[in-house]
Amino acid sequence: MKELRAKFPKTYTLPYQLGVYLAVNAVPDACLVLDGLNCSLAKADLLAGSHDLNSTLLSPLGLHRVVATMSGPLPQQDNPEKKLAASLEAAARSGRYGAVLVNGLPYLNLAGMDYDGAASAVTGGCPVRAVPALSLDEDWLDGYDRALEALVSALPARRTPKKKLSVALVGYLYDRDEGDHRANLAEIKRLLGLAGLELACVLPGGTPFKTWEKALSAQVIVSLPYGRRAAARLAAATGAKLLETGLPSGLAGTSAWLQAVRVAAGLKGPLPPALVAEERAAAQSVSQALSALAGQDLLFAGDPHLYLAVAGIARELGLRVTAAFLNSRSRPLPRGSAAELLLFSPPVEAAAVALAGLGEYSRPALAVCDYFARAEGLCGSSSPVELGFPSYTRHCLQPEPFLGYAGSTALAGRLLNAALARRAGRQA
Amino acid sequence: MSRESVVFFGKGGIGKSTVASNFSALLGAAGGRVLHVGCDPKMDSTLALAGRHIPPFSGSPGPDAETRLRGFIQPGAVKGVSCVEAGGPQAGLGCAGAGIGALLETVKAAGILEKDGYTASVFDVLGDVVCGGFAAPLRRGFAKKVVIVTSAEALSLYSANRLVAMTQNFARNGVWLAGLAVNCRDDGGAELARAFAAAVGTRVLGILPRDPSVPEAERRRVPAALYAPASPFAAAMAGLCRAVLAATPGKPPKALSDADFGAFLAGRAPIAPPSAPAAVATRAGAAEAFRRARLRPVGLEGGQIVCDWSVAGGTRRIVIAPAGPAAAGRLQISDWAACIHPSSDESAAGSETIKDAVAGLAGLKFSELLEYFGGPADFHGRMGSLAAPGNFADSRNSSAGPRRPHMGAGLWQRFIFPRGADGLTLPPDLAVAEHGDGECRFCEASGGPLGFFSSREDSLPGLAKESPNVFSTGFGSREALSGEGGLVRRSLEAAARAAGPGGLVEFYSTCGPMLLAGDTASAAAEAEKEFGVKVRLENYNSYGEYSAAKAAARASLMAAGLARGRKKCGRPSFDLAFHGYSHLNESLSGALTAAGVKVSPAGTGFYEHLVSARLVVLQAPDAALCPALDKAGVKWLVPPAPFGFGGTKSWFKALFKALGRVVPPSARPRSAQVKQRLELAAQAGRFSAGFVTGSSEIEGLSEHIPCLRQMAEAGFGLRLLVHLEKPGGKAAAVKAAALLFGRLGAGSFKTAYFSTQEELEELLATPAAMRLVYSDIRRDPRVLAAGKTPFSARLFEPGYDGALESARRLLRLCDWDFSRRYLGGA
Repeated sequence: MKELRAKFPKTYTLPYQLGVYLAVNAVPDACLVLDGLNCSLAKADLLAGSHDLNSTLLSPLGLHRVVATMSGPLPQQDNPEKKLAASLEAAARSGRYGAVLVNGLPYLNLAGMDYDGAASAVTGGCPVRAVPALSLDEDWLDGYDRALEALVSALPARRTPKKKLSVALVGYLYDRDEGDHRANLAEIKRLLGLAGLELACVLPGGTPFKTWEKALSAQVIVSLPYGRRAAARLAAATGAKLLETGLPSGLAGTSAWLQAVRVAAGLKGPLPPALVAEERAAAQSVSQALSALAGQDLLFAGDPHLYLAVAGIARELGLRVTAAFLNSRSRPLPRGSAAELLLFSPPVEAAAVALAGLGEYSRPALAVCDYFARAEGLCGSSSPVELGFPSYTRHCLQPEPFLGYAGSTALAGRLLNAALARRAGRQA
Repeated sequence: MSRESVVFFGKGGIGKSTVASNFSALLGAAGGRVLHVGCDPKMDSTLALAGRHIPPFSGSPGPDAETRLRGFIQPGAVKGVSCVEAGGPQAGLGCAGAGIGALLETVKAAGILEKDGYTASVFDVLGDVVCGGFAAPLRRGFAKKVVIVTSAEALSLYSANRLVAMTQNFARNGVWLAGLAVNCRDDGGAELARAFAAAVGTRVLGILPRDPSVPEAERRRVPAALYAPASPFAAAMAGLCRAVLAATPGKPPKALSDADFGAFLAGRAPIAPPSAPAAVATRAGAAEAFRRARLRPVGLEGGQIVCDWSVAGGTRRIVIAPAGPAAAGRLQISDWAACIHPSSDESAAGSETIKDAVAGLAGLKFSELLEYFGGPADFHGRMGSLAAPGNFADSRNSSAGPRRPHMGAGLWQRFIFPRGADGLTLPPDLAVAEHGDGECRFCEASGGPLGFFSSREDSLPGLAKESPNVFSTGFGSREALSGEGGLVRRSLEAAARAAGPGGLVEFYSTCGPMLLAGDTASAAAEAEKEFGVKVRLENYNSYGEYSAAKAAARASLMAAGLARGRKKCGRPSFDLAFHGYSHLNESLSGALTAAGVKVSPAGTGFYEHLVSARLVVLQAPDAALCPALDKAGVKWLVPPAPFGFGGTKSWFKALFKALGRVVPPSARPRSAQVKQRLELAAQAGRFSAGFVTGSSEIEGLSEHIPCLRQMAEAGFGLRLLVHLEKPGGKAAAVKAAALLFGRLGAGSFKTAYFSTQEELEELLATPAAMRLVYSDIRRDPRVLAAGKTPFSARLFEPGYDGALESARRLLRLCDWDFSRRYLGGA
C-alpha cells in the first residue's frame, strides 16, 4: 500500500467546512444549516469535545447547532430548495439563535443551489446568511473567514456614531472556549486599556451574536489574519478605519501591534510607560528561559498565521525555525519569514522524509505544533509543545495565554519545559 | 447611469445568442461599457462581438480568482463591449452548469462589474435550462431583468412557459421578467406570441423579423445591427433594446399549467383550478385534522409521522411519510404516502384499510401534517422530521442497535450505545478508493474519549484517511467542471497495483461523482483486464458497511488469501489466533499460557496469522471473514465477552470446548478472588446503578452492555428506567424487564417507566442510593444535572482480576460525590 499512499497521499490539511464549523462553534447562539447528508457532521467530532471541552455545537439532547437537511445527490427532487427553505425558516424563527448560516456540500453546489437567494428569502426571526459553498477550492482557513464574513453581513446595516478610541478585533481564531483563548482576549483587552484604547468586542470571541453589534460603533477595525474578508466588509459598512495586522505576539511584536492600533486610533506619541514597564517585566521572566533555549532549532506545524506569530517569538527567544509544515493551501508569506524547509499541505509521509533529510545542524530539537502534526510524525524527534487547532492532548482549564506579553512568557515557559524534558529524556 | 443586468433565455436554436449579442453591441455603441457573458458550452455567444472564438474561463472561485478571471475577459471587436465565455467540458463529460456557476461566482467574488465600471452585464444562457447551474445568472447579485426569446412555434412557447415559472422561482432575488423577444416569420406568429404573453401576464418587448442581413452578418462574425444598420432587423433590434431598457417591474407573471398550456395552444379557455383544501397552518389546526380522522399522532420516526388509528376492536399503527417510490403496501396520497407500521400486528392489512385510515387527511400536505409536532419554534423537531428515512437519518438503523449518538436532530437521545468491534476486516489485498472531495475525506466520526460521536475510547481522532487500505481520490473542481475520467483511471490503477493481481478494489463514488454520473464502469472493466483484479463499484462512502454482494466479494478474496497462507505455512502451530480482539488482557492470556495454550503472536502477516492456529477468536462476527474462514476450513469462534466472574468462566469454557479440552484450574477463579468478590459485593449492596433504555431495547440489553450482568453479579442494585416508546406498551415492557432480570440471575432489580423528558429527570434524581447512571455520552449533562455520576463500559476490565478491579472502581465512583456536591441541579 506504500506506493498507493505515494500517489494518493494523506495530506496535512483540513477541509473548508471544518473552518465553517469552527466559526459557528465560536458564536454560542449561531446555527449552521448544512445542505446535504449528515455524514459531513462527523467532522464536528474533530472539534466538539475532543478539541473544545466547552463546545455546544453538538448536544446530547439532539439540539445540535449544526444540522443537516439530508438532501442527497440522487434523485434530484422536484424543487430541492423547498426542504432547505423550510429548514432555514424554522431555524430563523425558532427563537434559539442570534444568527443562522447556511452552507452546502459540494455536490449540491454543483447542482446549482442558490444559497444566497434562499438565505435572503427568509423573512422574520433572526438573520440568515449563506456561506459560499467553496469546499472544492478552498481550505479550512477560508471557510472560517467566509463564515465570519457571512456573520458580519448579518449585522444591522446602519452607520452608528463612532466611539472614540474604541477598537474591534475581527478575525480572531477562537477555536475553543477554553482557558487559552479566554486568557488571550483578557490579555489583549488589558493591554489595549493600558494603551489608552477600549476593546469594543472581538469577533468571534465566544460571545453571542448580539454582542457583535458593539463593533458597529468601533472607531478602528483591527483585521486579524483569520478574518480579513469579514474585517474589510465590516469596516466598509461602518466607515471605521481598517487596520490589517498579524497576531499580537512576542514581546516586541505585541508592543509594535499596540502602537499600530494606537496610531490607527489617532493617538500620538510612544507607548505609555505602563506598557513599556509591562514589556520589560515580561522580558525579565522570559530571560530565565533563554539559556536553555537560545541557539536551538524549532519546527512549526500548524496554520500559516500562527506560524508567523510563533516565528517572531522564536526569533526573540534565540531559536531558529528550520522547518515549517503549514496545514492550508499555499499562501504568500512576508519576505524573509520562510523556514529552510517550508511546505504547505504536505503529504505526511513526504514531510516526514523531508524533515529527516535536513542536515544534522538543522534538525529541530523543539516543535510548536498541532495534534495532527505530532500524531502523523511530522515533528520527528523534537520535543513538542502542542498549540493551535486541533489540540487533543492539551486542554486549558485555567488561563494559559499565548498572545500578548503574558502569552509570550507562558509560551517561553512551555518551550523551556519541553527543552528540559528532551534533555531529561536523553539522559534517561 | 444605473447598471443594467439582463439575461436572455430561450429554447435552443431560437436566435437567442443573436439577440443577446446585438443587444450588447447596441448598448456599447450607445456609449455603454458592457460585459457580455456567454453561458453556453458551445461558446458561440461572443463570436459576433469578438470576431473570433475566445478561450473559455477555466477556473473556479477561490484564491486568486480575480487574477485568473481577468485573463479570460477579452476586449470585443465592438466598441465598449468586453466578453467572457463560461465554456464547458467536452460533450458528455463534467458539468457545464457547474462551470457557469463557477464563472459567475468568480465574477461576483472578484467584484469585477463594480471595479471595472461596467454599466451593463448581459448574460446569454444555453437554450434549455436543465439544471440549477444554468439558472446561475438569476442568483443574487447578477441579472435583474429576464428576457425570454421565443418564436411562435409550440415547443418554443412551451419552453418559454417553463422559463416564466423559473423566473418566478427567483423573484426573491429581485429577478423579474421584462418580457418576450419574439423571432417570427409572419403576423400570425406574432399574434400567437402576444396571446401567450397575455396568458402568462407579461408583454412582448419586440418582434424581430426574418432578415437576410442576419445570416450574412453572422457569417462575417459581426453583430447584424451594426453590420446593416438600415435593415429591418436593426430597426427592430433597436426598438427591442429601448423596450428592454425602459421596462420596469410589473405584476408578476404566472406560468400556465401543462393542461392550461395545452388548452391555450388548442385555442380553448384555461382549465379552472380545483378548489384547494383549506391549509393547516397551525399546530391546533393539524391536531384537529388528526382528531377528525380518528388518528392519534404518537411521534416521529426518521422523518415519518407515526400515528395510531382507533378502530373497532383495537388500535392500528400507521406510518405517514413523504411520498417516495411506489412500494407494496404504500398508498400515495397528496405529497405523502401511508402504510402500516412494521411493528403493528395489522401488518397484513391491505391498502384499503390504510386508505380508510388516512382519508380524513387527504387534502393536506405533509408539511401541514408536521405542524402537529410543532411549528417553527420546534426547529430541531422540524429538522428531524425533514430527514429522509433510512438515509443516514440516525444511527438507530443498525441491526445491532445504535453504535453512537445519532447525528439527527431533535430525536430522543439514548444513553446506551452498543460498543465493541464492528466486525470489519480490511485484508491487505483489498484497496478501497473513496472517490470524493476534501469534505468526504473527513466524513467518518473519528471519536476519541472526549468526542461526541465517540466510537472508540482508546485513541484520539486521527487525520483522515486513517486506514492504510483506504485512500481519497481528491475529487475537486477540475474534475467537476472538466470531467473525472483521468482521475478515475489513475485511482483505479493505483488501487489495482496496491491490491496486486487477484486482489480486490472497491471504488466508492461519493455524492459529487454520483451527481455527475460519470462512466466509471468502463474504467473499472479496463483496470480489471489490465491488472488482474476484481473491481467493485459502490456508491457513498460506505466501505464500513456490508451488502450481501460486497461481503461475498470480500469473503471470496479472503478465502483465496487464507488458502495461500495455509499452503505457505503448513499445519497450524498455535492453538489460538485472536483477530480484532480487544478483551485479551494480561490476566486472560496468562491463564491461557498457564494452561499450555499457545497463542499466535500478531504481526506475522494477515493471512499467515489467521491460518497459524487451530482456532481463530473473533470479538464479533464478520460477514466476510467468517464465511472465508469456513471456506478455508479454519475454525473460528466468537466467545461470550469475558466480563465478570460469570462471563469470564463462560469465555474460558467456550474456548476450551472449541479446543476440545477440559477447562483447567488456571481458568477458574482462585479462592482468594472469590472471597474478595464476596467482600466487594457486600459493600456494593448499599448502592444501585441506573440504566436508561427504550422499551423495545430491553430484550437485547444484556448483550449490548455485558457489564449489566457483571454489575448484578457484583452486588449492585440495578434500576431500569424505561422509555415507553408507544402508548399501551407498558405491559410488554414489564414482561421484557422480568425476562431480562430472570436472565441476570440473583440481584436487586427495580424498574420505573417514563414518557417525557421531565419524567426522566425526576427518575434520575431519585433515589439517593442510585449513585451511578450508565451513559455512553461523555459527561452526559442529564446525569450530571441529577447529581449522579455517569459511567460507561470503558470502566470495566475483563477477566477475574478485571471483575474485581471493576467492582472497586464502581464502589469508588459511588463514594465520589463530586456530581452531587457541585453539578446537581445545574
